Amino acid sequence: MSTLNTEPLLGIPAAGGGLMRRLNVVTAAGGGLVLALVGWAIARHFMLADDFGPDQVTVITMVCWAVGFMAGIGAFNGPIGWLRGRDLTSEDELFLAGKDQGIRRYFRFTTDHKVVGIQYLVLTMVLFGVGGAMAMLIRTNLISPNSNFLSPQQYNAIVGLHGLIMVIATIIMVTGPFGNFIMPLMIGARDMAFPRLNALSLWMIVAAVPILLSATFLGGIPTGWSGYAPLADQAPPGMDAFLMTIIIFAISSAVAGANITTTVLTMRARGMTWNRTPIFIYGVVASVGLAIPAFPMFMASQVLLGLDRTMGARFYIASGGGSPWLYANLFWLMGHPEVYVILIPAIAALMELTAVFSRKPLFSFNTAVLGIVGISVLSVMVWAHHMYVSGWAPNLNGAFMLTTEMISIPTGMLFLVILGTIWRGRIWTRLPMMSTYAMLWNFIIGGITGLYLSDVPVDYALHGSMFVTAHFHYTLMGAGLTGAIGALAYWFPKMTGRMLDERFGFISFWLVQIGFNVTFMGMFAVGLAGQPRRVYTYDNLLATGNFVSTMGAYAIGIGMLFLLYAVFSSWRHGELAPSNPWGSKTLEWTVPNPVPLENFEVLPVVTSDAYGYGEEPFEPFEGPPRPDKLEPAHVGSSADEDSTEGARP
Amino acid sequence: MSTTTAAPTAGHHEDVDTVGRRWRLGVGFIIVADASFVAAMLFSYRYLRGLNTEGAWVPHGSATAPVWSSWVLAAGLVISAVVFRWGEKGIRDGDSGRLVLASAVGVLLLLVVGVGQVVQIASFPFAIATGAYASSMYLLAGANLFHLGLTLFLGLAMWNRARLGRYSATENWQVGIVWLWWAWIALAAVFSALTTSFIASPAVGG
Repeated sequence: MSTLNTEPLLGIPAAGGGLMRRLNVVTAAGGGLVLALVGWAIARHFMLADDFGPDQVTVITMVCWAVGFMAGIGAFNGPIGWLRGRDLTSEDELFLAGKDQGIRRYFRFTTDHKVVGIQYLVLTMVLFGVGGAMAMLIRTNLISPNSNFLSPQQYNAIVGLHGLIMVIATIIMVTGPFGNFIMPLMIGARDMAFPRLNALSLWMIVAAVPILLSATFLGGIPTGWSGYAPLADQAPPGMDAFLMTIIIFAISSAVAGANITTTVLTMRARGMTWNRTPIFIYGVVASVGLAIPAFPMFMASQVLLGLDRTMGARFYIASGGGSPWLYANLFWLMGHPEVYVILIPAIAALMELTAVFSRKPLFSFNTAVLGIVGISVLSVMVWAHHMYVSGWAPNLNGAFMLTTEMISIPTGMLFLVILGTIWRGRIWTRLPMMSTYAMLWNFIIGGITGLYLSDVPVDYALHGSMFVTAHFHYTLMGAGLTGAIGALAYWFPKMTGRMLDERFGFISFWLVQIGFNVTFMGMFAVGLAGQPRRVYTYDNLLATGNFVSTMGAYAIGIGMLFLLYAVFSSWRHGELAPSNPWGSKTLEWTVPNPVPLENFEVLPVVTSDAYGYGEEPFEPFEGPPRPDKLEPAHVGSSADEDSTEGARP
Repeated sequence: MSTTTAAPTAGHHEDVDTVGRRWRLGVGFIIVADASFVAAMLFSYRYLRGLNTEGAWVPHGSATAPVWSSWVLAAGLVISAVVFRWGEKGIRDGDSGRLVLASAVGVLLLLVVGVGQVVQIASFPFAIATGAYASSMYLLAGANLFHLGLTLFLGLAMWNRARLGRYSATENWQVGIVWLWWAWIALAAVFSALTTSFIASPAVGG
């Protein structure tokens, strides 16, 4: 990290950077629109001659939008300046880091990891808002067998869009906000290894969001989020929005993965050996480490689909020598690791906070690490359990059943670590800890129903049913999203400098968790009774279960609105947080609020692990801090653990 | 977590070797991601060739591309990488002139290979819609062209920056990283040529 170099990097002359200082999200949108219009006009003039014309025009317009947007935000300034031999001065780097720019830095290509973390948090909340609203539409349509609230086409389009939006949101919901804001602090670093790549990965996703949402006006995504071929080959141009989004997201994920992994491997504080590295860091690295090789596979599947759709290639068309099985393999080679890309960091965040709120060391740290490694390794060996009924390699079904069932072993290890940490702890039941309880309940159900589905005969009966939908919502939402909300409640004081309103937080928690279980228990029931997923109507016999599910979904929606209110009202008017309200022992709590630009005045040297809880008396923080406790007198620079005492209430 | 004080670093400046090592690792991860993408494309070729769905891998009566053409392009890339490596070794000995020359020759070779790649695509004796083999050939050729474009950018930057004296015997980690990428894309082209050397499907279609 070199943002405070007093000399230009490598002693190279200044870049000037006049243009760089004028770029922001408005110029990005403008650049994207102008280039998209130019691309659209040119493509329309030259490429409407054959059957593939509309798809060619759509894809070219979207590529132009993305390039224009990234140029408008300033993503190419660095590389072009580098090509010209003009590197950034320390002044330029401080500008890029958002120094003294107030709120404007959130609307720029800002490199400070804390700004990027907040940007990710807001982006994730926006995506959840849009995807959640679509979930409400879906459930409203299913409130009765023939509600006709949506047309079949609208229903299909919204189901596909809801799926993809939620998958993207859940992938970034922990590693985005907390992997960026918290992780460098937690390892004692001044920033990420590659700050500009950090901003690049964020803004690429921002550029992809309008593309994805444009599918609504282009015929939707009628294939569900999996985008199976050959249906995807025949779908309307909304499918082009799907594939372009995936391609951009995959590049963004690879960049972010390389950045986060490099940061952890090379920038941990002195003395932070692997045994002293907090478990959350393991979770984040496992997640992005899986994403680095997995997401390019998904990207490849979409490049092939794009060539099929725009140029008449034959990758997935059986009559032309192609095969839909190729798509299914490439998709699920990513698709199953992706589940753990979502889950591992969320559960790791919960392990982190469970030790804090149990006032006990994390139970069997090595088991937790082994569990994370075991899940990561096995997750790349289970993809074909999604393809039992496709007819692909039936002789391998047994092997994939075995590997899938084996993954419950390392997953169970993580359960044991959390339960062992809670066991006989001095539990401090605050909002973050509630997420741990909820995750244990939900993930047991999600995990055990996953075992059913890994079993070949059972899967033959339940594949494509609402039972599967309920199962993966129990894992990705019941465990993953619950973990992310716990992480938000836990790290909110550090990220915003204010305490999260727990009254509204608890109302939200109970509404969401009760609503969630009502919704998806109902869905298990109708799935077992034979209701297929992705179908906009159903038999009268299934009316009660669907009505119950819809009522539960409304409860989730209302609960999420409470959480949204709690977040925004607390952010603006919440009580000021002391620098370490939970009495945590990891490094991020040793820096003051708001966190300084370079995080640490002097870099810490770690001399023990992060879980020495219960070794000294602890007075829980239950109310507004006294003024003398708002800022620690001195952070991270004393000779021993007492350095954090000033921050502790 | 107990902590103690680290010695303050002057202006938080990190030494060149540390920054270089970090970048090398980061670019290594990017190469892993790109390798995964390339592997997916090569897997697609081999998978569709092996399946020969409906006997349409290479439809009856359609032509195939000459195998040697991909090998010639791969050889050009390998030579360009070797030339750049020669320049990279030169700058480590403090010879910036050698890096300027090697970058320039490397860029010229990339341009030649790029033109060759376009010529290969333009002269394929089939259209992309002819069958799965044809589609795969266009895909791999396009991917090679994409690699060439990225490397051309890096090569031009190396030439320009070396010309401006940005690198020396002690500060040359960027050159080493570009060499790493250059070597990878040459290797990818070799893998691609090797994969496409096997055309006839072992499966009986229909």
